Amino acid sequence: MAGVLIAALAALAASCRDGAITNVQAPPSLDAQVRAQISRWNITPILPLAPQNPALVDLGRSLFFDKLLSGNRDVSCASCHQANLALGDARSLAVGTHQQLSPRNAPSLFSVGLGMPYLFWDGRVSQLGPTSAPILSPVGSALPSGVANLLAAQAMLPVINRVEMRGQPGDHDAFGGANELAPPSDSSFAAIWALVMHRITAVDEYARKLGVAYPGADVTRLGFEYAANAIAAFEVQTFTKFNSPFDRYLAQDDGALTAAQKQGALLFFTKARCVTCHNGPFLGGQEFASVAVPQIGPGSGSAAPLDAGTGEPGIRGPFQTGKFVFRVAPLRNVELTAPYMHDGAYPTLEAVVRHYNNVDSAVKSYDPSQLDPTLRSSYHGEATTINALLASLDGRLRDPLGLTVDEQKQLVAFLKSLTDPAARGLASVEPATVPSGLPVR
Amino acid sequence: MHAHRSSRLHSLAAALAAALSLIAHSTSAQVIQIKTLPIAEGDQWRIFPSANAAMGDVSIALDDSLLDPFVNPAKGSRVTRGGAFFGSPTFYSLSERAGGGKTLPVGGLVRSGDTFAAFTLAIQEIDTIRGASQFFPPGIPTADGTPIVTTSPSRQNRYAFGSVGRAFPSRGVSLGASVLWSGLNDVDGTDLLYAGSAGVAQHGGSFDARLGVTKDWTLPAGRQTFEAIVLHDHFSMTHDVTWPEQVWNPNTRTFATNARLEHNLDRTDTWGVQVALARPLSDSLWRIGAIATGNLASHPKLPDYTLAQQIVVVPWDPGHSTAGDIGLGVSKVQGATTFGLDAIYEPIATHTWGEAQAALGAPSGATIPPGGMTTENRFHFSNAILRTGVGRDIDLGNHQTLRLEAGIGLRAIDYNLHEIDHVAETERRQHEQWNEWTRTWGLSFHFDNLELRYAGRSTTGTGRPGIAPEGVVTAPVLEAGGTNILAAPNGNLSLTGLTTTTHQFSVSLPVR
Repeated sequence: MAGVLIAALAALAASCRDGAITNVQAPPSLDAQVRAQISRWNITPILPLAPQNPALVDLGRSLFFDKLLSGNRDVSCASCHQANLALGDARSLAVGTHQQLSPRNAPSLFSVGLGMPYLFWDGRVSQLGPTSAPILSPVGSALPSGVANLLAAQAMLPVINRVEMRGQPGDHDAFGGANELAPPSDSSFAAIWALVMHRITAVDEYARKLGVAYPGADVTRLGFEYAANAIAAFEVQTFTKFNSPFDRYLAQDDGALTAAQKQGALLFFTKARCVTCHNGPFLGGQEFASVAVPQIGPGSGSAAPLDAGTGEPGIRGPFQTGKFVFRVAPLRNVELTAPYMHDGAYPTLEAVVRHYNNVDSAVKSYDPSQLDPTLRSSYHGEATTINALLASLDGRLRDPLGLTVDEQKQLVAFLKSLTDPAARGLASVEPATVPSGLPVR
Repeated sequence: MHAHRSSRLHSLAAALAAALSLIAHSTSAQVIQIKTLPIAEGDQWRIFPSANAAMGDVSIALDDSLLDPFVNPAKGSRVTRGGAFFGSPTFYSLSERAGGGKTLPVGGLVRSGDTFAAFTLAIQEIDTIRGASQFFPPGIPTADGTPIVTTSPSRQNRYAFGSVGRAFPSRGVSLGASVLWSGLNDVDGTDLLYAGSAGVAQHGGSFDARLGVTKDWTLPAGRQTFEAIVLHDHFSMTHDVTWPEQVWNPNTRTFATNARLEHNLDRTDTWGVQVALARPLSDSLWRIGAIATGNLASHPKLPDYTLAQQIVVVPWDPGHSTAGDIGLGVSKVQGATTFGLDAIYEPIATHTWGEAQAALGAPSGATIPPGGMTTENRFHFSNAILRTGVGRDIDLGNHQTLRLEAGIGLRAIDYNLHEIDHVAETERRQHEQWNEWTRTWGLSFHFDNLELRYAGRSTTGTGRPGIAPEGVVTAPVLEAGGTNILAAPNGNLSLTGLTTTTHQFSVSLPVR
């Protein structure tokens, strides 16, 4: 009996094959799909910001809200980036000094502290790489070496722009005085900055704040870059908000997003193709694209009354692109930053999604009544402009997305998950007074 | 389902299959093993010597003179001649260097009058798994300057067993109680449960307490034995998982690798009862036995395993399981030949769920309140175990005997899953089945004052993730064994088919 049994066992043992594995088939969970896409598109968590020098932040806060920095003493940084309007002005096109109409929408400041490579809609200020990488800007080598970072470099520019803050030759300021910032030529960057800084240091309270922020320095010899550095420190410390539900989801909290938001996220990453431009840690901000946004306003540069964006010769040095190409906006807190696109052509996220769902149709049927009445007449809806816009359209958008109404709602739900609740309550940041004594509002 | 073996790297297309793999942390049949994935477990828990190990572990109708006192403490009454001391070094390994370990138990069984006792102390060392954490060597710089700590944590486990009992010969009754304490720093394979992690430091242990009773009757054809065991098993481990994750550092404008430390708790409490009866079959040489086992297990906290890189499983706790088995066995000792066969059926039901941390909205507009179920999984198993073995004594003269043994076992796992996602308001059903084969072999020498045993076993039909054939680099993909695993495989699941091979040597010396 034993022999038979042993033989039988041996036969059975020999029949056992090594490594037989069972297949497990099941649909992936929504979270699994979303997380796989997040990984694929390099959308990473963001580390906390290093705390800024409190003295710099305090100085920067005063400067940000002080109209003293504008030639005509009538606008401040906060005029276009209002704390009670989610750091925008709720206008399609920003309005500069002496009510001059800017060709573009005031961009959001919510993500500027995150280290994006490009600033401004045309990316004219850029830093491609770590903090040690060179900063490129329209002023070229005139940019002072003391500029601390890309955001400070950005803060150097509005004061030399005649529309935004500097004013035109012959302007008088809000109090009837001469605008001493206006006369220098447009290329006399150093002279303009010196005049702005002279105004600042002439105010005792600013001299004191500068002394605290830059201990040991001769305040009278400080260049405007030191003021710009303070403004940048204030913006980074105060405006950079990235504790949204989506950020918590990135930190592995699956419960941070609702089911609709997750469905919207999946659409964002797949069918809607948003992520092909809005990727990376900022969900955008890293590249440029032509999305055929209807043209509105006075236009810019040689293309005026149209706005060619980075297609304007020389705007980004050797990096000229085709026409109507603009920086892809970063999307954190996008819910709060209406109106949207480089010229504020769309007042709601729903309208933006409809645009992307079928660009051809959206551009051809654009309704200017959704604009502020004062801008409707500046809509460039002629066939040649529309055809030019569509001819420049990015290849990723040439085919309609085919999103259903429900899918569009889910996509908007996801975009709203990018809102940090703290970004809603910035009104208290606005000081009651500023050292110059000029009105804050 | 089908099996395929290309380069021994098995690609398992799997998506979100809520899967439960509750791998017992004991080899004793009184704590029923629950598995939802064909994971190779290793033989970490095989710390006691066994006389039947080489015969396929048959046990229902065939006494195991070495193992029985550790399973049912009342069976220490079977110790004769004052008892014995033993050493039972055990080595196990998984092919492809996918794991392994070595255990050195020493212990004794002693009897004085009607009182008996047993003890075992064991030290165990678990091998480093090739492939685990191989992509993140120690010292990788992180965003905040703190190196990711992937130092080798202790892989040493300790076990201590003690039992005491008393026999009442006039009534044929024995009573016993035992405790088994395990201090664990490594449950083999747990590293692989956290695919993509830079390291897992484990610490914790288990405590198993038992009360046992046996009642013997002498029948004309032999002895009839009834036995019962009541047990409580508490298992508690903490997994400190270091995750390397790419992050954006806005302060330096660079991507960096950040070390994120995650604490995962693994807690299960099991209450169990087993009754068994074995008796001669008529006046033949056959014996027949039957067992019935019941387990109630609660899982107050289970680890949030990551089944694939960048994919974290929805937490599946709390939960509970009801497991049982009924088995029949026969054996026959005829002259120098011993034969045994066990057949066991295991019905198991498991219910686990995830709880919402905050209120969640469902597509229908319904709201899941904090603490409400987000996802629930209901598993229903119908497992079967079949094992058989044979042994043959060869008289070597001079009171010396050589015994040859062989056996084979089959564990067929079959379950249905019903998963309900209350957040997405979807549900799905899934059916899984696979077989695990174990071959055993062994020999023993019996001398007057010494017993030497060797038992080998080889198990196939299971695998581990993140293990590539030698020379092939593959990213760790999906989870694997360990204890009390509640896991939902997402995305592509790759397991490498492995063979688990165990060699156990036992030396037994009489006390006298």
